[in-house]
Amino acid sequence: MQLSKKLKMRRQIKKECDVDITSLLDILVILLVFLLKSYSASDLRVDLVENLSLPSSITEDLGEMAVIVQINRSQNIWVNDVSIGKLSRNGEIISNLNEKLVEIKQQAQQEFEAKQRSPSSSEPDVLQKAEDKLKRINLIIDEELPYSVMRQVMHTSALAGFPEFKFIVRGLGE
Amino acid sequence: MKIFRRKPKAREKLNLIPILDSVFIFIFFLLMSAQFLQIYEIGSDAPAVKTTESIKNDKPPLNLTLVIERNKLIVKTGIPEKVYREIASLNNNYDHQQLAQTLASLKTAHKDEKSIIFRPDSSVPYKEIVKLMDSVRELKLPQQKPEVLFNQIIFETII
Repeated sequence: MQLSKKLKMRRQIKKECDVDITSLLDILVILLVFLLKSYSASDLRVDLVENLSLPSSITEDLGEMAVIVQINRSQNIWVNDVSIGKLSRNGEIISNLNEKLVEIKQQAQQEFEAKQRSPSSSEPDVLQKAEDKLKRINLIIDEELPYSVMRQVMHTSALAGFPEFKFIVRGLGE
Repeated sequence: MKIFRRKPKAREKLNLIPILDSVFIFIFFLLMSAQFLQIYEIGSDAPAVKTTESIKNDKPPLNLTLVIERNKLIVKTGIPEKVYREIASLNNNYDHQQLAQTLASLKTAHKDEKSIIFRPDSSVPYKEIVKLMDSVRELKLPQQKPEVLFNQIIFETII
């Protein structure tokens, strides 16, 4: 009886438990290779809206972040991922797009003027780059839309103060 | 006689914790910067109206214009415009090769000219215009460096 008690009370020698992380490392290396392949040096991030397919192009010029206008096949318009309704034509000007772009332009202009007054960003190069960025607009248009829509979008954008058009396209490798 | 027993060597285990740590951080950084849709841009500026003192040049401006109709392309040059070449479509597709060759010959004669004016028909689809923009910007020859043609594209009657 005493012996059995002794046996029970005996400290069991704990075995060292080794965690086998070979499979975890395997997954991480594959994930790393995949992510390295899809790394992009551009700061432009686009969330494509529904019913919009980009045309493909051989160009390899990377985009830069600026105002983004998206127009899908149903001619609905998004500005910086915010829907502003359907394309409404007032001659060559798209009125709802014009209002939104003018608003964004005014806001951006105020921010730029505040930056100009700030002592930390008084370098002329920095200010010039910021000023150039104010004129850029990224146009994401569905590939099946006719040139008349494209012309109206460009006309409206230019009048709102965005004369530098950047047509966003899909790389041919996709 | 003394018997010398070899002390069993303690198995050294490779410490993978620093490697795991750096890999995790690296993966996090790559996840944030990954883009699964390869997107690029083609630039075009609205025609700017400006008054400058132009340097007198004996050479007249090329004023290269590409008229894009549904079934053909018309290359025009000069002021006033004169038709340089008409390129008919092949099987309902624009003949990009012929266009590129035409522009390459124009580029050889006018090395300093970089701009081209696009005048598409209202019904031409956007994807066709993008393909034409590719053709006029660069000439890709096999096993040769791509030749820059007219990479400043201006769309007419925007403002």
